[in-house]
Amino acid sequence: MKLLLAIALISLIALIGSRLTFFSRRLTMGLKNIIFTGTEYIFLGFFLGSWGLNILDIETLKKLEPFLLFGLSWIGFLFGLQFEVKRLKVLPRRYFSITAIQSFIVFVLVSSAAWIALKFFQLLPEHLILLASITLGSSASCTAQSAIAIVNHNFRIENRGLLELMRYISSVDGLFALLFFAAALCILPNGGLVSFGFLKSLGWLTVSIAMGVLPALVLIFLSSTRFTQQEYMVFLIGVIMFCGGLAERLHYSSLVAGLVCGIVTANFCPHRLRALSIVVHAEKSIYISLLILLGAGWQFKAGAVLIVAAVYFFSRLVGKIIGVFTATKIFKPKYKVPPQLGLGLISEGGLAVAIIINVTLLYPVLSDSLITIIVLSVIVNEYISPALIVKQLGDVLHFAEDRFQKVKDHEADTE
Amino acid sequence: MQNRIISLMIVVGTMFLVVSSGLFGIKGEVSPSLVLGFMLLSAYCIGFILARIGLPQITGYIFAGLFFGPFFVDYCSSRAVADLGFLNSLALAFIAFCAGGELKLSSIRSKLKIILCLIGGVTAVVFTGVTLSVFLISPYIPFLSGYNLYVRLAVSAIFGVISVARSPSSAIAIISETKAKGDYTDTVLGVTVVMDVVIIILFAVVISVCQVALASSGGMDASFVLYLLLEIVIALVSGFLLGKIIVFLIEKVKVEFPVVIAGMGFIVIKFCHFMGEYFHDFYDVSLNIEPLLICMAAGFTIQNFSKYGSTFLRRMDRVSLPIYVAFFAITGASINMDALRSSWFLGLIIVLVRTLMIFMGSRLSGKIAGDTKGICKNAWLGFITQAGVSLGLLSEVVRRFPEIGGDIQSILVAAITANQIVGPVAFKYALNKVGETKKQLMPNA
Repeated sequence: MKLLLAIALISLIALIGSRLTFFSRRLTMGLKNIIFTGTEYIFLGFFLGSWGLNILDIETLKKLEPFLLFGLSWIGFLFGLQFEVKRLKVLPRRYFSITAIQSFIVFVLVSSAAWIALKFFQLLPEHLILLASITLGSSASCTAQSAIAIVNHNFRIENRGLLELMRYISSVDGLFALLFFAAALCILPNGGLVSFGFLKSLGWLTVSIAMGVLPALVLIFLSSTRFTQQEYMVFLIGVIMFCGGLAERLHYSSLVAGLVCGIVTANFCPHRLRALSIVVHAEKSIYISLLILLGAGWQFKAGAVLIVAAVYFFSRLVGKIIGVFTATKIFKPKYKVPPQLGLGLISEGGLAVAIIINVTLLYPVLSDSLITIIVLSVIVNEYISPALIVKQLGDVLHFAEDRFQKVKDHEADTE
Repeated sequence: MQNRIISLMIVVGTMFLVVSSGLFGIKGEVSPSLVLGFMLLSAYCIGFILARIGLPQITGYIFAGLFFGPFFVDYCSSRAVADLGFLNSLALAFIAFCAGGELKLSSIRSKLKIILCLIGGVTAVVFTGVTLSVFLISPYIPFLSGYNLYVRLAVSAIFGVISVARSPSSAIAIISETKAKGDYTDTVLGVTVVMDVVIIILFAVVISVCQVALASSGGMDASFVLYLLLEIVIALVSGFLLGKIIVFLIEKVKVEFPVVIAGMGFIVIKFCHFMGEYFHDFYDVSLNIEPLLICMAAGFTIQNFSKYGSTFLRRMDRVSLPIYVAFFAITGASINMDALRSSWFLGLIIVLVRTLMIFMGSRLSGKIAGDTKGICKNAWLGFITQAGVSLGLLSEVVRRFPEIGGDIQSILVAAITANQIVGPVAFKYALNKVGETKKQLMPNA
């Protein structure tokens, strides 16, 4: 019965929250930034978890794993859907290259720093340190869009190109993060280098691709004849759940399987846009659910893990600055780019969380440390991110007071 | 259809490779998430294929669950079915909301006489007919032969009362699938939904009599009637309030109907369990408020006492298919084939007698009500299906009469299984026969 209550609560919070959170609203610097960016759901989950009301206790969280897998597979599928080769070719190559370079630099820097820190403090089993470091690097290389959206709503930005670049990076770098994560799992199929083998990696790759391709084929076949919207819901939910379930059965990544499924669908399914619209519709609710579950599963650990979290945070910060700086030096945009633009891209959210959750499902022993690191990082980043963006773009921003005045006038008229 | 068959082959082939072939060296039960994904896709495809040969899709969903379930292919183990039980609760609550919402006062008012006659007539005839039939053969039923006449009659009445139960979920699913509309559809649905209330009352009376007969709990206590009425009143009032709360949420928070319904369904189930436990622990009173009755009353309130009636049904319909597919596939996987194997003969007798009685009861009701439209002539075809409600009542029988409950259960599960498979086919046939399906009403749609 506790499970029913947990599901009811998470569903209601996620679905109502998706309407309230991330809404455009007036920017408020400081502590209030934690609210309405999604971070509040981590606290809510923490409150509902074993440290608080104990509604989402460990046993209930275990039973909710099918939902987690579904959510991870859904997120992977969503990112894969955006990997349509035809569409990618149309997008500016310069932006794509800038995104790739900055992601890679962040990935390398954070992975290395995390590896040194984890090795030094011996927080995790020796054979899993490399995998944990690469996973942290992958999660660090993606950017959440929430802070940019808030700033964009609150200010008029003279240099539209700059805003466009930031939005591009924050929406595309998730793909690279997932590819890094997939590569890590591929090279380390059993978690460590000790068991490394070319054939094993090849086997991992083949099975991961097959797990994505087969459900995608089902979707393509099912949607190749006439169907109703209701039927399409069955296809999508069934395919994504099947994909996630297969990955779990074989101890593979649901996120990666979903990604492959999404890529195949994006490039071969005639109804990919329909799929995209449905998947995007539920995106926020699924992210909120993941954040709640992350908060509930968070077993706060003090001590050395806090130092590793700080290392993760600062190396990511440095990585973002160096990454964007280097990338924009190599592929110069037509407009002036502030040298520390990377500071405006430190917002962290959904996908980073999903990557960490996925690896902890595969290797539960990593969960306490990695979840603590990512939770702290998300909270701090969401807290300072809008202020940093405003600081970076200070010269080209004008507070859009008139927009709020218009809203106020409209509300007054309505009343 | 070819594409559906290919899809089914891919899904089943993948499951074979991953689960049965041993190729990956992974043993153990299949996880609920894989079961659910597999069931959704395979049940949908089988339902689609069966629909092409004129059978209802839900028969396909049930069949898929049965075939891939624990008694045949075993891709869906008993444990996975149990783990997915919460989905059944959600789906049942969802379906109950829809059932209540389908009852539009304006359209059933003109058929009220027929509906009441059918409820009275069919209940009386089926209950009496099945009770007497079981009583007549009771000396030959091994677990009953040792009891005296009075006990045999009382136990026979249990068979009679469970035979009266219907399946609102199946009726709603078939109506949703065929998009049927018309007098016949409204009447069958009205009778099926209201029967849920009647069956609760009748069941409580019979169980009480039976308890006295078997002397398992002292003398007959008339206070049970009071509690029963209290349960029904609480359920109806709560349902009305819930309907109003939902309308308020829709208006103020602007959240989609299905979202609120899903959440509220869970809360209702939780509320009923809490109330049951609370009254039992603190007052030593058994107060079993039926959550489905609350959901039905809430759906009825939204339909008839708010401006969102038609929007409610339209929005619910939009998300109903995945719920139906999952629900009926899991129902199919839960079918107890052992009971069917061991008690098929007695089960078959009950199925035949029950069907005959439903037929006679419907015809009799038609005559009493002066049915000139011929609704009652085909009504019996819509009353055959049995599912969740009957199984729920059976588990209560097992709980109250542990000494003979298991035997009663195994016979009735066999009968319910057969009705579950035959019923939807019969109802779809009837809807086609009376010309109320969407295809017949709007051939070009």
